Amino acid sequence: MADNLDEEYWANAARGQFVIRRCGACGTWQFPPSSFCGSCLSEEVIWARPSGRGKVWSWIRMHRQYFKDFAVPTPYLVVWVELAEGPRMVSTIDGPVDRLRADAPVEIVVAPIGDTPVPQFRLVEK
Amino acid sequence: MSEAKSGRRAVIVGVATTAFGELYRDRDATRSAYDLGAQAFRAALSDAGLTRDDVDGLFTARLPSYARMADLLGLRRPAICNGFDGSGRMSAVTLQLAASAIETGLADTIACVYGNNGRSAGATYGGEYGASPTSGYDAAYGMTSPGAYVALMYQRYREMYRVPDGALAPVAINNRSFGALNENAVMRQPLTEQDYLQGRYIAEPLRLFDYCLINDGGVAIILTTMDRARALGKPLVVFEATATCGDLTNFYTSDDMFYETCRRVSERVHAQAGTTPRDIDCAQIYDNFTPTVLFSLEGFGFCERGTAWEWVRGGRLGLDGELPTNTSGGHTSESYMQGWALHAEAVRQLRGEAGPRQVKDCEVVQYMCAAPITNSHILRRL
Repeated sequence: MADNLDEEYWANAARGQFVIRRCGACGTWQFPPSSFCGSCLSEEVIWARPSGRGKVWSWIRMHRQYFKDFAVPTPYLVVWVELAEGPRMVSTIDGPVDRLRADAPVEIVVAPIGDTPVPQFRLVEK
Repeated sequence: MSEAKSGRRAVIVGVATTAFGELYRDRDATRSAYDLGAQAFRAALSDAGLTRDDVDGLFTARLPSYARMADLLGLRRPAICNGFDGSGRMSAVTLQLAASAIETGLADTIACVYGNNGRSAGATYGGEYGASPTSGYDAAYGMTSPGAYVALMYQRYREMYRVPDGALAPVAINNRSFGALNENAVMRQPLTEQDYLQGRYIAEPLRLFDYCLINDGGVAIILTTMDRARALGKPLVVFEATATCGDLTNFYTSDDMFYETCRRVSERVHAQAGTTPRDIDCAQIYDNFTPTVLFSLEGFGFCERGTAWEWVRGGRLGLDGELPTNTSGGHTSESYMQGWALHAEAVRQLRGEAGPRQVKDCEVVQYMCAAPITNSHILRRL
């Protein structure tokens, strides 16, 4: 079951869509996708489209090439985003970034890393 | 720790660490983690004055197969046995459970054995596919390795508290200064602030000298009952307190830098031991990466939240400082044994066996680990 959820998430991303999961019983959003609601333990968890808004909790620049086949050369930016709906996720900023500060508001954009469309974020004006 | 019948109270009687520096200098060697664990076990027996046949419990850590380790050690029928994973958080968990098992009568003499051949095996502690059930979501962005997750916390900490670049240098330099006093440490050459700043970024803002080593070694710690410990005539090192609190989400990164988690553990251990942070003579702080030392100092009440980066200046962590910390060199200079060597050093400090690193009048040592399982013990020599 969990394998199918991962596949479905990435299949949505391949179609340019950022779709995550939400509990049909209590409304709690979750990421990454799961069959259970970690808040109320219901299994009535469904796919749902979040607002796409969030803020950058923090960021790093990776200087070590841990993944030999990662499409982006070092150093590359990684962010940890807190979605407006609550869940957190690792991602990156689409496009060049000059200065990045904690709590910077962002919004989702599905864009490729290498050949693979992945949910990324872009900075928005406050 | 619940009140145990005093004769069954758990006592740490044997500790051993392999010669980390010597192992490191032999660059061509490929070693087995089991052999390293076995070497440490044999040395810990000798340290305790025990024989292999006195041991009736085996806990392994990091070693993939407890059965293989038991077979190598000739421990065929232990009264208790388990294998713990090698993460740093598990070192204290293993010892807590060993002490509990002794106190409840499951076994009398438990050997905790850790073996790590990371350097021989070419470990990188990052870049593994399937590191966890959800790590693929992070790997899609090239995100991996605990250091990078700690770096996320430290970057935000810097912004929250206006921390200047280089603020972690005192932690790395302190570790190295104790490594210089430890003949078994991997890294012994003094580290200057300039050296630290010139270290290359790994997961910026963290640099080379903020990171633990990757090296080979083994550590073994043997616990037994108070009655047996007295009969052995060994120094009686006991747990005055121990406690744990998890911070379990999908990420290593904690959104309060483990502050609340540490605070809960701190409250419990000090209540159990009847102490305050001011009573601690020496600290062993889990330092896979230097920021965790800052987070631990704050969460465990040694300084105000957001101020540890200033508190560690001026030698507070040094031998003559307010809180001698990581006195054998820590994970960035002695050896990366995922908490185990820190525990061995805690015991040695309490026994007065730390030689040039010895903290004067060391009676109470606190071990702390701020991690997704946060734990702490207050150890004392009776």
